[in-house]
Amino acid sequence: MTESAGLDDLVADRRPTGPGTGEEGTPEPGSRPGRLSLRRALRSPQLVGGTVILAGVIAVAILAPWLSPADPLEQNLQNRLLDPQGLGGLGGEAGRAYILGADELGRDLLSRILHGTRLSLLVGVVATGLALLVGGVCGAVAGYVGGWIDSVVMRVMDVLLAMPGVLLAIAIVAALGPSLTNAVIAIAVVRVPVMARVIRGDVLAARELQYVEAARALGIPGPRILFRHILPNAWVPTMVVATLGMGTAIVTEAALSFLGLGAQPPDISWGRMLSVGLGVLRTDPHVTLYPGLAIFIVVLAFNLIGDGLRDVLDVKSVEQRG
Amino acid sequence: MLAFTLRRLASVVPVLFGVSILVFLMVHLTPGDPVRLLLGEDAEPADVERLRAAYGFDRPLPVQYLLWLQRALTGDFGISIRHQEPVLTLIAGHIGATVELAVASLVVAVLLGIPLGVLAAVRRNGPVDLACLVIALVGVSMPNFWLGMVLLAYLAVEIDLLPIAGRGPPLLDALGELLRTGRPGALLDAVRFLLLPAVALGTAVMAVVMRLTRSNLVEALGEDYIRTARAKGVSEWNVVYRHALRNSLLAVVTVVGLSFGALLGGAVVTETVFSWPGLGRLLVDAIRQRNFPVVQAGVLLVAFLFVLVNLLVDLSYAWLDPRIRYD
Repeated sequence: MTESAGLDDLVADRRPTGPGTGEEGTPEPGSRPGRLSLRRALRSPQLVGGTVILAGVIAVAILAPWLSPADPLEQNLQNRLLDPQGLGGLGGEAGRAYILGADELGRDLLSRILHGTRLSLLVGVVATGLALLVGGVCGAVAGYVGGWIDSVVMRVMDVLLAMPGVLLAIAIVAALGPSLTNAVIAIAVVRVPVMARVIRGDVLAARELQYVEAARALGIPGPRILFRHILPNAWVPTMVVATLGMGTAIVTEAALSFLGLGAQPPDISWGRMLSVGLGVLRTDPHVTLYPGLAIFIVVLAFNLIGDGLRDVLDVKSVEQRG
Repeated sequence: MLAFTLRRLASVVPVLFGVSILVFLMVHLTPGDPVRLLLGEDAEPADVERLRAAYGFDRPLPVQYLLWLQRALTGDFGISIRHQEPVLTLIAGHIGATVELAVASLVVAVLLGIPLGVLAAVRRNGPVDLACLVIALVGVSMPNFWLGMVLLAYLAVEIDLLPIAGRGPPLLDALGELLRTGRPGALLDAVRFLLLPAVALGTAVMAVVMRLTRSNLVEALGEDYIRTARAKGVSEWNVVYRHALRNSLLAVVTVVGLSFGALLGGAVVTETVFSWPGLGRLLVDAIRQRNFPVVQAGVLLVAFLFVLVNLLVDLSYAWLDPRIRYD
């Protein structure tokens, strides 16, 4: 997988709780697995670190027009592939522009990277949200209703899981045509079976619990039991998978745009910037270095939060596409 | 074991069937005339009509699918107009390079991941453990194609240590030459070209292998039989390697096997970075040229390999751990 982020959660990395393993993983007295309290959250350096980084990234996305030293779309061919000028910038009329250098059309690299944050986060949120919605409904209904509906839905999910994620996304974009919207659809389709499996597992487990039996005995209709009682209690593993999935979605968008199958100009995408960087790698590695670093930081933030949540909420196994 | 094998084999059939339907529908999801897509926009009208009749595009979709499946099962994916070559021959010429890259990435992942995981487990909660945790986090968070580009920029361009792009002699040929003549020249050449793409592609899997080895080994080291071994006076080395590690590696083997499929997918992007002449680059080029027969055959083949490898991993797991068969 080029889905570097997705490989992380191929398996659960259970924190040890055996003798001689220190305190990590030991639940706090009086706390229940699956409950997120601020005190427990603050004790996870991963969760705290990831949240701080993500908050910074979100702030950059919102404030990009004010933080950027130049217009990210403004071309200046005189300065094409200009080396990074450091904090002083070019000075003079150009002001503080070209701190990280310029791209092949003389556009300010830092401004483009700051604006690119918006597209990356948007793709991560929309694609994961779509996958959560479609996969969630499919998985919940399959798990709750069972029988042939369960069999049919899960066999369809098996088919989607039978292809490496990036390849499936590429195949879908190849069929629909290269564009950002189609890339988001493709990424969502790739993530649907992952979400469906996790939610189905939770619903299957919850279906047999006493409070569900009690609800059934009271004559509450099935859909109401599913959506009002079971799903709100089954959000823990889903949240972990969704968070880790954001990183995967962002990397997949970057990969698709890198191959020319995702965002198209004038949309500013880090993956697209990397594909330009590949062409000038021998002479101007800075064009490659910084956009990639930006992807790395965002994915790292989501991975830290996902890992932190998994530890804090004591989620024992997370099923995910590799 | 036989019953389990048969059951698993039977479960693969509907999945492959579903994959073939998806791949078939690819051309029909695409806006425009499928015949034009297959032949290219500048095809002669006579060729268009001939293909339309030959492929049965004027017949109902299910019939078209059955015709396509029948041809695909006999290895007939049509002819790539651009390459003037049967699609299957074209794919066969590229799959070796991709499998070679994926296997090399797995070797990198295992050779680095398991020792680092053992080190982290033995020195758990110390600075070495923390360093390994950081390496693992960085490893899974870096997009492999970007890592590849950074490695290229600094190890191939800046200090000219390794070749910048392309593939050396095929690894199997180079190994054959070494066995035949005893000269390692070709093998070294092959490895020089293979090293950077394999490291770029294998780093994420390495991180997973490392973390899994660490957590399983830590768990195993806390078991009663380890306490017994220590009480008997078995040396720490033997406790870790002969007793604990052996029991921890089963899950690692499974993850390594399952990662192979993910690597086949990841190779698509990595190959573009390193101009690696594999299936991934062929596919990406085919998509840009809207050469659909090549895309269909390539996707189907990789999916087939993916399912096959996962099946083999499942079977080997059941063979190694008999409890699985009775689940």
